[in-house]
Parts: sequence; C-alpha cells; structure tokens
Amino acid sequence: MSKTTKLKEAIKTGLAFALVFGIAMQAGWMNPYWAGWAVAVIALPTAGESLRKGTLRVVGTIPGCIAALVIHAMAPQERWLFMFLTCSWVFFTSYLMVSRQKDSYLWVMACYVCLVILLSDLDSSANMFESAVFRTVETVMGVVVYTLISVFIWPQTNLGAIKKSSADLAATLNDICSAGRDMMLGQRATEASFQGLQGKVVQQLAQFRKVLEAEGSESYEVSEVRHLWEHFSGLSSAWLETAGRWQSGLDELAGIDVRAVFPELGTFFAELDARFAVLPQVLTGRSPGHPPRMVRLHVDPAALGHLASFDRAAVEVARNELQLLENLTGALLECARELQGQADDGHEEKPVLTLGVRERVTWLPVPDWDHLRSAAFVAATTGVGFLIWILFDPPGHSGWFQLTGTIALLVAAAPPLRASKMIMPVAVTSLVCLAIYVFIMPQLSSFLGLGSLLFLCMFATCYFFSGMVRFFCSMAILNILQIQNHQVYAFAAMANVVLFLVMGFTFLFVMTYLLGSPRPEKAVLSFLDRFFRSAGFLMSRSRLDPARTSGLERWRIAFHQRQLRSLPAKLAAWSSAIDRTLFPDNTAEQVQGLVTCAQTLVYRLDQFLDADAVRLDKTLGRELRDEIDLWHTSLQSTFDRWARNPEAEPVAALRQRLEAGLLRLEQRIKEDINRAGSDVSQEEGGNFFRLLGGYHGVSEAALAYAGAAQTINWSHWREERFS
Amino acid sequence: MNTIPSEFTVGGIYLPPMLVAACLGVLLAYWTAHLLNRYRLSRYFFYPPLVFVALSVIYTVAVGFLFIPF
Repeated sequence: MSKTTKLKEAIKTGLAFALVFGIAMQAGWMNPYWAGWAVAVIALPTAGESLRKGTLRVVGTIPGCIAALVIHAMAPQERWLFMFLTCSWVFFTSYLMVSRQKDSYLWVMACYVCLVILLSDLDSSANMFESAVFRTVETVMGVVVYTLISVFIWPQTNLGAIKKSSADLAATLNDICSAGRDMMLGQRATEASFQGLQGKVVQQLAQFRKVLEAEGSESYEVSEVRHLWEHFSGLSSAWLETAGRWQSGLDELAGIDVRAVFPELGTFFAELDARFAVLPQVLTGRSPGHPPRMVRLHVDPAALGHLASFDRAAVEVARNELQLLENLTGALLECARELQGQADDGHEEKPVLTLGVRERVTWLPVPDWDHLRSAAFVAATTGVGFLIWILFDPPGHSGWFQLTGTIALLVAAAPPLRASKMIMPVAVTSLVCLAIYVFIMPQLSSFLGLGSLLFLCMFATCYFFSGMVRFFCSMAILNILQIQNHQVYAFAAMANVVLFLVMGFTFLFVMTYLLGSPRPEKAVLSFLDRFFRSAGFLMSRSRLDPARTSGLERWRIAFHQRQLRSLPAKLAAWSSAIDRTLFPDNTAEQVQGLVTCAQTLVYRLDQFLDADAVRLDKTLGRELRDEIDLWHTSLQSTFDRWARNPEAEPVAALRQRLEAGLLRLEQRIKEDINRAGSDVSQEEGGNFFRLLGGYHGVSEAALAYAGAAQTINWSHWREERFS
Repeated sequence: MNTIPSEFTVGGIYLPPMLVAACLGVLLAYWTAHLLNRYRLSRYFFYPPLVFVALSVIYTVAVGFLFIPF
C-alpha cells in the first residue's frame, strides 16, 4: 500500500472512529466503545473487504446475543452449569472458527459477543436484554458509519480485482506446466523452481479467495456467478495437486525416452500451452477463446515393450496424471468461457469432471485433531479464567473470564503465533494509553477535544502499525480510555486494567502449553510423529477388504487420511516459524526439503492406495500376495519407527531393504503375467504396472524422506530450552 | 537491614512490596533463562517452563529477604 493510500485510510478510520463515539454519546447509548470496536476491526484497505467483515460481524453478533440470553436463562444461579454451558458454546464456536475458513470471523463474533453479553451487568440480569440490543445496534451503527465513509470518501474499490487475480493464477499454472514439461523432457527446469512456483500458486489461491469474497460483497455481477468462480478455484487447487503428483514421479522417468514412449507428447503439450495461452485472455474478457480440443496421450506399445517393469510402471503412473491434467485444464477453460457467458451450445460431447469429492469412506463427521485441540484450548482457557475470577478475584475481575477467552481465540486461529511475544506490545500500548488517560483526558471538556483525541489515536494506530500490533493498540485505546457519557477518572481502576492485561496475556502463555510445547521445532517433531502414525495405520488397513470393514474402522481410516493430507501444510507453517539463529546446523532449505518430502510421500501414498485395490484381484498368485504382504509389513514398521524417531532408518539400509523387496515383487508380477498368458487383458496389465508403480513410488518417496531426515540435527531440536 | 514491610511510592501511588519483588524476581528469572539458553545449559533440565516458575519464586523470595521485605 502506498503512503498516500495509507494516509487516506488512516484518516477515514480515525474519522469514523470519532464519529461513532459522537453518535453513541449523543444518543446516550450504553458503552459507546462497542461501536468503536466495530470500526477498529472492520477498517480494511478496500470497501469490499470492509463490507464483508462488517456483514459477518453483524451476523455473528446475533447468535452470540441469543446464546448469552439462553445460557443466562438456563443457569441464572448455578455457577457450574453456567460455566459448563458457556464453555460448551465457546468450544462449539471455536471449532467452527478454525475449521470454516469462509465464515471464520462470524464464529469469532458469536463466541466473543456471548462472553461480552453474559458479563455486561454482573449485579443483576435485568439489563441483559438491553445490553444485547445495544451491542447489536452499536455494532450495526459502527459498520454503517464506516461503510458510508469508505464509500463516499476516497473509495477504494475491488472491482476488476477478481479478473486480474484469476489471470495471474492461470499464468502461474502455465509456468508450472512448462516447468514440469521441461523436467520431463530433461531440459533446463529444476525441482526447486517447480516448488517455488507451487508455493506461489498456493499464495495466489489464498489471494484469489480473499478477492472473491471482497468483490462478491461489493458487486452484484460477481456475486451472481460466485459459484462459477468457486468452481474455478476448486479446479485450480485440483490442478495444483495433480501437478504435484505428476512432478513427484518425474525422477523415475529420467532414464526413459519419453518422446518415443508417448509419440503424441508434442501435440499434447501444444494443446495444453494453447489452452493456457488463451485462458488469461478469456478471464479478463479480451478474447472469446475456443472450446478445448480433446487430446489423448497414447503409449507406443513397441517402445513400451523395450522398457523394464519399473519403467513401464512409471510410464503408466505419469500417463494417468497427465491425462488428469489435460481434463482439468479443459475444465478450467470451459469454466472461464462460462464466466464470460460463452459456454458451449452443447454440440460437442465433453467429459464430466467431478471435483474435489474424494470417495467418502464414512458418512460420520471426521474432525481435524488440531481443530479439536484448538477449540478445547479456548474452552479450557475460558473455564480456568472463570475459576480464577470466582476463586481469587484478582485485578481484572470478570475480565479473566471474558477477555482471556477472547484472546485465546486469536491464538487458536493462528497457532504459530507465540503468546509470549504478545506480552510486551500489550504492556507498552497499555502504558501509553494509561498516560493519555491520566494526563490528557481530564483536560478535555467538550466532544470537540475528545473527538480530536480519538481521531489522532486511531489515525496514528492505522498509519504507523499493521497486523497484530495495530490490534493491540486498538484494544488498549478502547479498554484503557474507557469512554462513557458520565466520565469518571479513577487511576487505581485503570492501573489495575493495565496490570490485568499483562497478567492475562501471561496466563494465556501458560495455557498455550495445553496445545503442546509452543516451540516450533517441538511442534514439527510432534506433527511428524502423528504423520507417520497415520501413514503406518493406513498401510496396515490397506490390506482390509472395504466390504468387510466395520463402520468404526472406516471412520478411523477417514480420520487418518484427513490427518495425512492436512499435516504437510501444518508442517510447512510451523517449520517456517523455527528460529534459524538457534539452530545454525540446519538451513531453511533443508527444513523445506523435509516438508516437501512429506508432501511427496502423501501424494505417493494416495497413488499407492488407489492402485492397491488391484491387489484384491483374484488373478494374483499366492506368492505375489505374500510378497506384497511382506513389503507392507516392512514399510509399516519403518513408518512406526519414524513416528518414534525421525532418523531411525538410515538411507543406505532402507534402500537395500526396499530395493530387494521391490525386485522380488517385480519378478513375481512378471511370473503372474506370464502364467496368465493371453488371459490378461490390456487393462489388467496396466493395473499390474500401476500397482508396481504405486509400490515403487512409495519406496522412492520414503527413501527421499530418509535422505532429507539425515540432514537435520534432530538431537538439537529435541534439546530442552526456555521458550 | 530493615525487615519491616513498607509500600513503594511512585509519584504518590502506593505499590505493594510483594508486587515489586515479584516483578524483579520474574525479570531476574528471565535473564537467567536467557543466559542458560545462550550457553545451551537449559538442555539439562527436564521441563524448563517449570524451572522458570521455580526460579521466579526463588528470586522473589531472595529479593524479599535481601532488599524488599514483604
């Protein structure tokens, strides 16, 4: 954001902040700072983003108010029931907050407002309904005032951003496709450049979703076709995942003349290039584009016949992924044409692509373990805060229940955020506001003076700070200045608030130990432990016949599948938070390499589990089945050992063991095919090689992980230290 | 050495001696933890967070005993 834009935004926010206090005080409403909170929180760079956040804030306030009234009605004199019901609501809303990215803020509000209303009047419940109404009205007023200001004064619009964002995304997907093609053909692209592009797409996808929400709130044209934009986003994610799987298998094609095996490879990539070239133009409305032409990637049987079994398996796996990439690219172009109102008239038959819906193993809900822990952390913090308040009543009083629970939501929403790092900014901003409260505020005698002070405070906060520091500054202004219609100055009360804020954040830091060690390297170790436990579990259960598996077992399989697929992203987030100065033995690239290997292992396990269904085929010989079982047991025990100790299997020993097993497996497959002779159809032959490719892929990915794990100084990571 | 507890006054504001001793105790414990981390001596502790709490209490009591009676 340029300095001029920043200045304009700061002026707008400061103006809205002063104005909402003026309106609330003129109307004699309860707690004018509620409206101030609304302005401080929804002040975002563009009108669309502010509108969306404001809407979520208003919508989330209503269930929060209702929940508070219901809890109070059910447990007016029962402190333990009151605590139980409140913690249950906090748990429920926190879980939804962390698991639903789309409307996460709505659930933050539902939780926070409930805590605020419950404690709005501690002496009686007579004013509770009034508090709930004022809270809602002032939130709406804050949102409306800021929206009007942002629309009429220096409006910053999102219009057109979605087209630009989607075109940028398509261009990077094209770059990935080109890099993968170059790697496949043994040309200049490297694996590092491929990974860099993948990281870029992940960021662009997040940006795209943000822009879609913002522009969708601002423009009817965009909100009308939101489902198509969401489909485009889903297709792009699926494309990225497929490209990742394709890239992870390229090493195995290194010694193969792919041009001879796939005679139409040039035409195939030319069609993909043509689609990607036209895609940004279609998305930005500069070209009508043309319907995608169907291209198939056929294998030359003669060239394939000259390859060894493992190479044939690698070719089979690569062909599958390329074919899927082709389908997804075609679907992206179709979606873009539909967005421009140029959908096909239906004169050409197109394959139907179902997206992102993996076959559900169970119909029971499958929770994410980390989301459950985060929700439990917020509920436990609220509960312990309640106990501290009623048993010890330290400075801050009911704030121990309300504020600590609210701030715990922040920690749960961004787990790598260290609570210990928040203590100092909170202490400094609170002391600055305390000085304003003591030395400046008693000198003010009119709203002109107060309004100017509020404007200056919020202007300085928005102009000089961003992110969490800005949030803490706003919190200090609103909590310490405590502006009321009948202003009373009490130094002791405000000094206690400052003391409470510092103690509250320290308490929160202590409570974060409930989530495990706050040290990022310890978190990475714990994630790796869970990752390999899940991998080991899935390997052990892949031998089961799905038709004979119990409902509970199916739920456990779904749970571990979810863990396995979600953990690499968490590993990436936590590993980037590791302080490199404390661990000079390991570079950022080595740690990133470890995360990449974990992601590759997930891709390979996915491919393997898909291919492994063939194993249930009755045409397999007994020796082959025994060999497969032996390989399963071997890899499962490796995963179990890695769960306990990431360096448990040295690469050389593992390579020797896995390669010997794979050679035996290859031999058995050949024997089985020869024995069956002409009874084996082309499809069955392909399945055999996919099966072999699956085993080979997992073995290679495991070896790559073992190699990456060897470069890390794990004993240093495990060492205890003060965090 | 004066062993009678007395409040601290900062610009006419009275602070309890235990609060001041506790603040000093936590600061000293923080500084000690920093040194232990720097020389990789913290690896010999089983659970450093608990050691930090223990150090804070020990320093607070020591400060109370030697400088600020509470």
